Amino acid sequence: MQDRELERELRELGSLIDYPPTPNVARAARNVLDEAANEQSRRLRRAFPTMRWAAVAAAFVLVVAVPTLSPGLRATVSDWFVAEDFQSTGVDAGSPERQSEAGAPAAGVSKSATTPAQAPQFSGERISVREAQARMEGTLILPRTPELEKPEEIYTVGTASKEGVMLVYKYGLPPLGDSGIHLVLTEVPGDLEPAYLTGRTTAGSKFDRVSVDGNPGYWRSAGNRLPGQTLLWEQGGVALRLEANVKKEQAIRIAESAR
Amino acid sequence: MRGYQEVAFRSAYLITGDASEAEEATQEAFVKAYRALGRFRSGARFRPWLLAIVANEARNQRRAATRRAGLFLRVAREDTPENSPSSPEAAVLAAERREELLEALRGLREEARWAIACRYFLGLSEEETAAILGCARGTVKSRLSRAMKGLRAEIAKEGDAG
Repeated sequence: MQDRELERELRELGSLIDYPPTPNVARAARNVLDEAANEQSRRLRRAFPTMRWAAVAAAFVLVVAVPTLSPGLRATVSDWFVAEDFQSTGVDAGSPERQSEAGAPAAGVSKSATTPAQAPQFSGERISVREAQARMEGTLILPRTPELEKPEEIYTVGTASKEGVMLVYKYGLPPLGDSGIHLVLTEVPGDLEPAYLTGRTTAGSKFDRVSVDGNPGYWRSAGNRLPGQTLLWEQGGVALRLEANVKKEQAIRIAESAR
Repeated sequence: MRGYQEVAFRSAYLITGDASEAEEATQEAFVKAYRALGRFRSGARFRPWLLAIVANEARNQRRAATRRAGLFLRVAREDTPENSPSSPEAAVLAAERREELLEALRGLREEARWAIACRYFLGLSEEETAAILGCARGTVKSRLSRAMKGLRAEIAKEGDAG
């Protein structure tokens, strides 16, 4: 038989071979490499805890750079956790009409009726617990301490790119000045660090690093628009901000009870 | 490297004769290739470089396997329009001939079988075939020539037996 004929037959045979389906080995390889990189990063963090702060510092540079680049992006990172007044964080200065629209419970109305000028108003839409749960895609987080029962009011907070909820408690803790509010818990899906860092840059006030159930949190004893303290932490992919007139230990205890 | 997955996996499959071993070998090769990308000489051809890593991993898998590599290649479909014989008799003859060729390939040494598979089944270049075989490019022709000679001998043996 001629070689050329045999070669032709082999090529034809080759075109008919039943190969197993090609697996996505490129992706699998990337996963292996990503996992190895993550493991290395974890080891480094264990060996050099301060590396985490180096990462925070690197993120800091990014976050600070963003607002100068794009007003749109600024809106996404300078959300509710960071701005220093309720005007930009979803709360307006109060007005009796609006308070009435919000349908605040009797105690809240009574309180705000006596001090209407101090009672903050929330510009977000008032929603039910069920709606809040849906908005947070089932991850609505509530404190479970004895002093706090359920939020009296829930409002939406959000921008075009992010959305969350703001839970307002009016019982159980020392009030925040004359606002009639005892605790405000804001929840936004996403990472805490960009929010924290932007807050740090805009507020110029110091946050202390704390541990919330073993996870990093940030505590600021200085009040701003409300005469209370602020605790930031992250839980299950949700960044949370607690504002209340409580000591650090109590704030952490409330945060750790949340689920 | 996604664009090279198929040729890499099939090359590994021709060496290991087993789909899961081929997958493991190819994945490991891709991991090594990703890590070694920094050392890849610019100007060199990427595919032969990658296939050399794949073949090396596949041979390691092959050596680790305890079973003997039997004939693992099968013909998938014989009725595609471009290959469709003109009559049922011709179809039977074509199928018999393919079986004969596969049987002859079965009788070859592994290296000879790989050489033929690289060139004619996968359509690899000489450089790529050399990468798979782990030999110098200049020796591919002579290896292939010996492999074809062996194949013809196997076919003749089958003819005599038949």
